[in-house]
Amino acid sequence: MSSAVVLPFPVALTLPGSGAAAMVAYWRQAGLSYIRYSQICAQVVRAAMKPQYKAEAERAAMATVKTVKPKKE
Amino acid sequence: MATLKDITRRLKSIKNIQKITKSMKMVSAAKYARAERELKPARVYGTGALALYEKAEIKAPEDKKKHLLIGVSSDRGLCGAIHTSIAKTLKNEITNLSNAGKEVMVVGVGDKIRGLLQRTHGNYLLLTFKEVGRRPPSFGDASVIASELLNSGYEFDEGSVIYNRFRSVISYKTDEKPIFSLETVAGSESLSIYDDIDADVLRNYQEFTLANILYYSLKESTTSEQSARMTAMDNASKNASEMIDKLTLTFNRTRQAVITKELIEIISGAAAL
Repeated sequence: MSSAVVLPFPVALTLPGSGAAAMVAYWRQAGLSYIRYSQICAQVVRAAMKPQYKAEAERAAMATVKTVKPKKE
Repeated sequence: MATLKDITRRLKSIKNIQKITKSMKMVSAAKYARAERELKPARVYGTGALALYEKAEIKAPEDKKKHLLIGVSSDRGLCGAIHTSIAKTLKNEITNLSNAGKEVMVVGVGDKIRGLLQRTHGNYLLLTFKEVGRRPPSFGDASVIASELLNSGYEFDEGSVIYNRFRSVISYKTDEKPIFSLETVAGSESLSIYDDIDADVLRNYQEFTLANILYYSLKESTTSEQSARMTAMDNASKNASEMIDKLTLTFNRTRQAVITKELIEIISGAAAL
């Protein structure tokens, strides 16, 4: 099967059958997921926009969804 | 035989209901127009994300045990069969997968899904999300859902997103799109034809694809919901008008009957003197 083993804090990962080692991204090492990383990048871009476009972008990016964890009875 | 007062009361309340359903129809028509406009660019995200799975023909091996079902709907009712069709598909899938010996967990996007599934299949519910449907969905919403899913700790091997795909103003269809785990994609043979893929890139891509697929299904779902609500409220207004017409006729007949009765009483009373 796959020879790529995901360790809790990986430093180098190998693709199945390739043998070449690849460096893991710095943000992955710090514990961020790609989704969180792209959210932070997008926030930075929005903060750097000119005021007339900034308001539009902020409005379009609002997240309103809330999580509900089911109670264990 | 109802009295005039009863009929008047009924007529007034049905007229109010007709006004309400008509205004709801206008509101959802406006929301539908906006949702359809935003759906066009959103479709690109979904088809792009799924293109890798289709082109590389990634299929999950049959012996995988852990399944995840994501049902995408909303919080608000009065939209026809939107919520019940998703819940029905979810219940069928749960039964099929459980009978095949697989472990299933369900994520519900929207309060209605939680309400429909909690009583009978409550132990399958992993997470639910609320405040869906009030405002149009954004990529931020899809990111939140995807992040919560990844942080929930449920290591699924294979999954599917069940949503209502928008076909036209009057029709939508409950559709299912697959999601695969990292191991399934990494272990697929056809992936070796692609250049410059390592496990880190694949993992990033998987997470991003999850958010993309959720965004696409949310957009399609809201458009279907608004069009269904428009149709439902339109039918309700039409039914209300029919009832108003029928009631007005009975009201006039009753009114004439009352007048005739009073006349008879007067005449027979006068004749007795």
